Amino acid sequence: MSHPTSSPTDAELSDNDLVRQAQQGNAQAFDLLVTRYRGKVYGMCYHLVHNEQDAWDLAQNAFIKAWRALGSFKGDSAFYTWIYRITHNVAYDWLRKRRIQGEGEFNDEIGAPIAAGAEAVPKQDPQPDDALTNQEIGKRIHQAIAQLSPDHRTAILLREVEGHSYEEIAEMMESSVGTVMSRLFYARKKLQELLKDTYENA
Amino acid sequence: MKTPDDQLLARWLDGELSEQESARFEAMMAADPALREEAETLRAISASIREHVSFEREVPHADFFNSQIQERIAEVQRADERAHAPAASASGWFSWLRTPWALASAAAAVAVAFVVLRQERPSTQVLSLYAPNPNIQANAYHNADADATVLMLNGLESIPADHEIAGINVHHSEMEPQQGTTTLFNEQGNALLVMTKNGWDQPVVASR
Repeated sequence: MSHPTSSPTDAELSDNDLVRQAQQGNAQAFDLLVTRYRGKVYGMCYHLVHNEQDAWDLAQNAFIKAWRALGSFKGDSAFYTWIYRITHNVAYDWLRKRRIQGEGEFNDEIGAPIAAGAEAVPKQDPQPDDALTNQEIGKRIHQAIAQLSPDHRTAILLREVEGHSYEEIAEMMESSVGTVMSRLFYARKKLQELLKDTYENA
Repeated sequence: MKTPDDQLLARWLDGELSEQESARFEAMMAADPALREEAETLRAISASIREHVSFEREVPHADFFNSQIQERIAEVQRADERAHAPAASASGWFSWLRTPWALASAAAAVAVAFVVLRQERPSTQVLSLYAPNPNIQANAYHNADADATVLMLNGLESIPADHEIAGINVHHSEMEPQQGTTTLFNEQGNALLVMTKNGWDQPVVASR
């Protein structure tokens, strides 16, 4: 083995270094990967399921699934693309089961009751001169995104917030580039419609 | 995606247009104020999303999150080790003890039985763990720091504090091929159990 395994705490280690060590059974190296990606993995789950407890459990399951599947990770794509894809699958299985249990279908026509993350909008002093404060815009954006279908929401967040390419998003969502572009298109159309009042005459 | 123009608009928003395409799209917007308005609105929405929404979220109880994963990984590793543990080293009779018949006759009233092998090194290893009741999940792990072996039983109804949990401390075993018996010995070399098989090839306790 060309890499020393004795100091996996080195923050300089690349994802691939850590993956190689983890593939040899080094749980500490995997722990560092968990620390690196837990916020993203948890965030992805949270945006899909809209509650902390389920998102926490799903993020756990995603990492355990990743640990079990590490042997099949060949490094053809980046580790984060791979872990996102696993997370996406785990969260989608969960959503599918819930849908089968009849706890509500997911599509754009049914408004999600919760504005995801609305409470996380930074507080600002209201500016009476503005028609809409920045805070109010933030709240409406969160509410609108919460009303998108999970597919549309994931695609738009991975593109707009995370800045991933169409190809990366396609890999993460296990779909084609064409499907990703179509999801982004419809997500934006839907947001435009939902935010009509906010951006009209802006 | 409905039309080629829609696709152009989408790729314009994503900054994916070539210089040529970009010039073409600018010209289209100049000729079509409605298109420009739509494009500008969509761009403003994109900017607002970037400003107000974060993808990443702080994991509540992050340390616990990590330690839980480590604990579950250790569980996975233990399960793998058990699955790959060579039964040959114990002449096959440890696997007998995992079967319901052995325990049914040996310790019918006991919720869980386990076989412990004390080897030359001072640590204790639980080699076999079996719960006759399929609703009970039994796990064991050894903590070297505490020098303790912990048995975890999930699914048990509450049991009285004075309930005896039986285990046998096996030091080594000897097989008697002619008679088809296996004898388990304790540390002092005393025979604990003599195991054999019945006519259906099921392990039974011949004597204790």
